[in-house]
Amino acid sequence: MRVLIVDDSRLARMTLRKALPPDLTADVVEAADGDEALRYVEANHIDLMFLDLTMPGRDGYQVLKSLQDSGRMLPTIVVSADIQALAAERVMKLGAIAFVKKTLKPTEITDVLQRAGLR
Amino acid sequence: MDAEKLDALQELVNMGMGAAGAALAQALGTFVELVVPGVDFTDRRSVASLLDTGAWAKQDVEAVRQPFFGAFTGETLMIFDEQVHAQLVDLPGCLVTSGDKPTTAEQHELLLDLSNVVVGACVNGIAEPLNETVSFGAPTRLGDRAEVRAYLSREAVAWHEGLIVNVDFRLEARSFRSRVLIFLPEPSIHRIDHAVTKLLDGLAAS
Amino acid sequence: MASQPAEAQPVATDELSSALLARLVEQVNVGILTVAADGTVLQWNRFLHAHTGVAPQDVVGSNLYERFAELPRAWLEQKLHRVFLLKNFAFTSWRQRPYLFRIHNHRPLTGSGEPMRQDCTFIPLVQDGEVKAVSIVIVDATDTYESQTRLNETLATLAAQSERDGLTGIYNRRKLEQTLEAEVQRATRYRTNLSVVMFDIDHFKRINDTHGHLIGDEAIRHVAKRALGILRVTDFVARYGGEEFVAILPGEDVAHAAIAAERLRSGVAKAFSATADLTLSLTISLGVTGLREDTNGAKGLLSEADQALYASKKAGRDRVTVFTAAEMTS
Repeated sequence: MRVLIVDDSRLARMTLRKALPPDLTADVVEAADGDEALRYVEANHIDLMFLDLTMPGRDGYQVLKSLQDSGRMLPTIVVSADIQALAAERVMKLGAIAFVKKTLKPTEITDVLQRAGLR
Repeated sequence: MDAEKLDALQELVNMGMGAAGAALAQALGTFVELVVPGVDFTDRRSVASLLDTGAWAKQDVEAVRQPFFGAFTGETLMIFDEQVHAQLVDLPGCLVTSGDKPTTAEQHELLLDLSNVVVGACVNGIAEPLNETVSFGAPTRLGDRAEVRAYLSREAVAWHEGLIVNVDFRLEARSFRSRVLIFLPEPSIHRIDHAVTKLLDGLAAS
Repeated sequence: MASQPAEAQPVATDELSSALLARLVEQVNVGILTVAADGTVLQWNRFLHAHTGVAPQDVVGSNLYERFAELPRAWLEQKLHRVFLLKNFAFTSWRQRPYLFRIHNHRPLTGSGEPMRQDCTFIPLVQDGEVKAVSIVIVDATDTYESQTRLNETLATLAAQSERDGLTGIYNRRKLEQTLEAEVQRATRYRTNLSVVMFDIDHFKRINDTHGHLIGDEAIRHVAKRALGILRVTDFVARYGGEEFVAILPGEDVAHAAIAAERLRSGVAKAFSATADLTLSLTISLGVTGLREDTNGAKGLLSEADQALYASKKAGRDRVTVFTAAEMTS
């Protein structure tokens, strides 16, 4: 399974990578901003994307919208520090399959993946 | 501090902002996103010139200062341009008390609250993941550029390095910028540096 | 690097038992009130009892808003909610919100009859990562309020007596009018010359609109400075209005005053640095007049200079016009 992690912070990407269940970590790639993410998705097949919301430039919402508009939607789990209910709502409307709060010790990744039917 | 540690610090602050954004959204009655496009260290000389260049030079500024103590001790200064009141004035959350137009006192109170929330998020964002706590003193307002300048150039100021955190407020149909300066004496900077290093090492190992 | 301090824990040794700490809370000269998330009052100290007349047994266990109907409920609920949510301090200051609890006449001897001014701190009491309750610490800030009020009154009196313009440091309009009266009397008595030059910045509104009012202020400051530098020491320069100035030239006849005005015009027309990255060019228009037998005193001089200034504007700005009775009546 090829996984794409999108976040402008290296610490966040590292943290998430560490939290992934071992069998998923075989093929993990990273993107540091929204544009890079879109370019990658266009050129490669991605099975699952973890997407940060608050990035400078093209943010998470815009990435989702862009994928939705171009018909290239793929399974996306949004990982964000923003905990507003409105944010979760918006993100689900834009086609994300789950919304996870960002933390330094992410233990619920496996749960989320199970609930999303990816395990 | 090297680029990797600055990046880590930025992410810590960003995470701290998540809950702050939610609280402000409730207070203002609108969708609020707080984005931290960058953090950096600065020295005393550069801070004064901050106010005189680019966008900050064209309008008057308003600022809120707030002391903190505990695991880290220091003082913060949050700078807004004078347009900020215009941006906030017709938001639903601002009409809580008067119902018509907010009074000057109410506008000031909102700015102090806003600053308190953001600064608390910044400083606690750094302290909490490092298992530390910080207490705060009351925020106070510096009404114009002259006051801010006077505050920054007092000889008795005992700091040499400070942390700058740029904070973008993205509201529903508008946005505005502010800058948070966190002045820290050297022992506190060392403490943060040390703690961030530990954090990164912990992640790298395994 | 020095070792890090241990996480601070509240100390309760045999010497300082929790009973003594409770005594401190009672005796301290600030109000301390603790509430739960649903608004139930958990604690109410002696300061609050003494100042509100409400005893702990009548409020602890009750809902704060039901017990004190005059509290601004919506605002206070939101304020407290934020503390519970963010686990962070919150504050109010008497400068924005005079008080939380309306407490009157609390100082029989020195009180001014006004309600107590209050600074409040909202402190989250955290246990196991959750905010169990919030304590509100209420500090009497009435002394500060009264000092500030007296200070403001003194400053207002000083400003009223002041002779100087705050922005430029040169004399203000009040001082100008007083001085011109005196000069007219002197010139009349001793039969000496006296001239007046009135000038203002061309297209000032445009400068403000294009560059902002801070740059506008710089322009005004610049003109004042140049005027001081170009005119004689014995001349008197004042800021008459927003971007308007008046100079009094004692001992000068109109012809010489016109020459001085022209020096002023060309001296100001040179470009200057408004800020580190902005160079501005501005011009001024001027009106000149001199005291004659038939001049209507100081008021007449100002009126004539104003008319001459207006003529300069109409003729295209950036020039000097000398008042002559014949030309001006139209």
